Amino acid sequence: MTEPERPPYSSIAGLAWPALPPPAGQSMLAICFQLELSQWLDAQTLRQQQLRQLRRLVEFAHAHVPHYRGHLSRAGIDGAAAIDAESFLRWPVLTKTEIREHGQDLAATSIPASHGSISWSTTSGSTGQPLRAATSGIAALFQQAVLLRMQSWYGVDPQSKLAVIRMTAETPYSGSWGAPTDLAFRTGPAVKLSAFESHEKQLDWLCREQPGCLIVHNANLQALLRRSRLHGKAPRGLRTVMGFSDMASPGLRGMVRDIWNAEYFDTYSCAELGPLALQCREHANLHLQSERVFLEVLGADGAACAAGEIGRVVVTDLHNFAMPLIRYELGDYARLGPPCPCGRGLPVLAGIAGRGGQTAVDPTGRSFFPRLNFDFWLDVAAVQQWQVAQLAPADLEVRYVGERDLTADEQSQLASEIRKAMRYDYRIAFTRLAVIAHAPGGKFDDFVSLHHHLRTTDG
Amino acid sequence: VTAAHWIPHSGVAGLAWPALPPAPGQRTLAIQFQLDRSQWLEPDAIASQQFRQLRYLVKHAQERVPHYRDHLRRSTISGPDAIDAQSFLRWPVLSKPDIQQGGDSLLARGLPEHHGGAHWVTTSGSTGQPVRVANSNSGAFFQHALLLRSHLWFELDPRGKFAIIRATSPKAVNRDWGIPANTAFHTGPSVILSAFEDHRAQLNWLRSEAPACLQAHNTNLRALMATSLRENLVPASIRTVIGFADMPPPDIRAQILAHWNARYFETYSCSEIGTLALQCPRHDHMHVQSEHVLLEILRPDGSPCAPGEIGRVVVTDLHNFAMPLIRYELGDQAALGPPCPCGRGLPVLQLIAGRTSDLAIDPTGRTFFAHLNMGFWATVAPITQRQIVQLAPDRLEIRYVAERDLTTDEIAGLVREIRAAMRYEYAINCVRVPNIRPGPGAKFVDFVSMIRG
Repeated sequence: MTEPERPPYSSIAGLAWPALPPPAGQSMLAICFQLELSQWLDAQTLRQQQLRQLRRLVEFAHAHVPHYRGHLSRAGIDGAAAIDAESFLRWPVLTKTEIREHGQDLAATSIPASHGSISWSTTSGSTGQPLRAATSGIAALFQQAVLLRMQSWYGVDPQSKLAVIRMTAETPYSGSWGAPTDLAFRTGPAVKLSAFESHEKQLDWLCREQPGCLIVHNANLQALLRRSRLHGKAPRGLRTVMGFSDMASPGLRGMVRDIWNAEYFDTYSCAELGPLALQCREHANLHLQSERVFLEVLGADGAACAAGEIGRVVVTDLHNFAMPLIRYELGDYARLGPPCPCGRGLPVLAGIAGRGGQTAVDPTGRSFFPRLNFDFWLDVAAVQQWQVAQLAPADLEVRYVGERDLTADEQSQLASEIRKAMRYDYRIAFTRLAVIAHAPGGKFDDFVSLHHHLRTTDG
Repeated sequence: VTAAHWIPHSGVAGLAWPALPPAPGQRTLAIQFQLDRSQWLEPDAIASQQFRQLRYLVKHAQERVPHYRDHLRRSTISGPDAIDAQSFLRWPVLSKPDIQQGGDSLLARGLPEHHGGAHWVTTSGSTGQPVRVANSNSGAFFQHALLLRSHLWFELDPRGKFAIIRATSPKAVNRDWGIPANTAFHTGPSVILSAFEDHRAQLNWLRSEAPACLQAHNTNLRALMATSLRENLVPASIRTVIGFADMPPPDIRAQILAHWNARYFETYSCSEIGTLALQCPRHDHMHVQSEHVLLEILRPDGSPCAPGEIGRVVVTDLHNFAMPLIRYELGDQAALGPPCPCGRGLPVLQLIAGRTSDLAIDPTGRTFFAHLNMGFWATVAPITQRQIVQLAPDRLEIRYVAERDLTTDEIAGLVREIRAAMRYEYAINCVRVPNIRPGPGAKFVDFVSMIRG
């Protein structure tokens, strides 16, 4: 199925294989070599190495980042060297509100020159609260190394054409994939399209461009696949589809295979830290990218969740000294799973419960994270995109984009599936829309709560 | 366990893991990244990359190395781009006398940018014919890369002490393992002893240094093992033994495991090019190091041997542009094996079947490889080292080193075994000698033929 591995390119005349790429490519491959080995470390060794790096970060943050100056003593930790999985649980969680309100105090007063230059970016995150984050050159390098790992895991041929559909598509065409791939490898061209284009236009564009590899929001992908099936139109030559951002339905992989004859892989990332978890090469599990990110799943009381227990996702970027995000609460909910049968020691993120992180309620007072991304949506061909909104404790609205109005039968079938999934007999209204708006920043919530009192208040 | 210990050191403050070592270490790891993958490529994909690299070398050789100026034309190859597995068979083989007589004509008139300088390497190889070869820094860089690969394949613990016993080195103590390991990793110390030391002294040195890994000539290892058994001196700290230079005795692996509780790994190298083959991490045979060397096994008529067929070893160093060695005949014999069950695409080198200068004959005219590395040497008589010399087609001399003269019964036992192995009723006399000096280049010549022409 996969092409033979493409070796890197060489910057030295006459030396083609093995290659010596330019210095930036050498740095990238030096990290990639370590990632090749570290993925097979056992979970305990991985944790030891994470803590070793974490202590360096905390030591730096304590000395150079005003926001963290008192954190060690407030957490009752006797110096950075005393950081371990236990004591770290006492380190205060960093909320988006804190970043928004105290952003200046989170930037390091200075960073070592060897960490490279600092770049600023703006993100909304999954809860739609925009914030600015600073990233060091070194942290960006490590983020990029994980992206290269992703391409390697999924057998992506860098010499094929890459298509990206995301919110911004400032360079619709470029001769190469850009960093990190072209730091060490010859690549094919890359084409980009805005996800705000209609699905009709997106699909036509894919059929015209015929990329080998596609990167796309999961919700957008699902809409594209439905349209593709409805119109019998599929991009030719597509081999690999990598989904990101929104929650992937369990049936998405099968749809990509059936409708486009391509392999689908899910990823979990955030703008501030880059990839957090990548789907296993051999299994449906998402592997935490432990070399980059220290990820915790916490219960309501702040204690670490047991495997299988759903809790809040709190992450630490191990390498970004420009603006250390230490125990940063993303607003997502997830649970850790049992070890993956592939043998990699990288922990498994078994489920990300509602990447939008919005809770549903019912009139009995139960609040929960609705998982509505089931295959029954696929059975109703007229629905290209959907969103469920909670208007009141007993009232839901199904918003959908489609070619035509749903029939009464289709509505009743969907309503019964939703009631079954949400375990309450809600009143359900159906509204057909021309477009369903994304949250600021481009993430798409399949469930939104408009019921004022339902919103979580800690984010 | 290995991956947990092979975590590089970092050159960037505050970054411990993953690490970013200084530039030379990044170069080292960038190559290891590729070697880590290329070993799993399909044989065809490996060959295709080798020939891609070979075409650059041939182009350079044709343009800048006088000796090779006419080789393409003489081989009726239309240009470097037309080099492939088929046409390359017509490229003339480079012999040791070619190098001895060729002088400077094999030296490149200038190196491409960033290939570094060049240095001389002198060797007698396995044939006792001394040659002087210039190697470029980039050629040496790839030699080093394979050394590091061997550490990883053999699952050495970089924190351990590394002991080397070799012929040419004076006694030394170093704080690390040296290049290339120290460019990217913190390692334990290394210690070096000369192979000309008495074997009991070597054993005592090993016991006092207590290394985790020992690298030594195979012949020396055999003698060390015999002394170890006789004197009941065990270097108990050793976990891994890496044999090199001459042919490993067939029972050395089992002996090292049984008596020293250590794993033995075989390697095949030459001074001119470096590592040619390394033992598979999972099996007893070796893998050709195809990322650095294009290794062919040829019949007497120059055609390629089929798998399993013993032939002459002819090698091309893919990266030395200072004095390109293209289809260079080493004087060794080997056979390629079937694909390895480990899944690596690197060709399997099943055995190194001696040297062309050391062929045995019998009065019927049969010429054959005197493969006398059998276990009986260790069981029939208390011999610490031996050499077989063929004086005439029907006459052999066994020179041996031992604490005492062999008894009549022991000699009779040896003679019986040798005749059986060599399938001829030779006249054999046994001579006890104080020592057997290694041949030229410190390689021990196991079987010496005094018959010339």
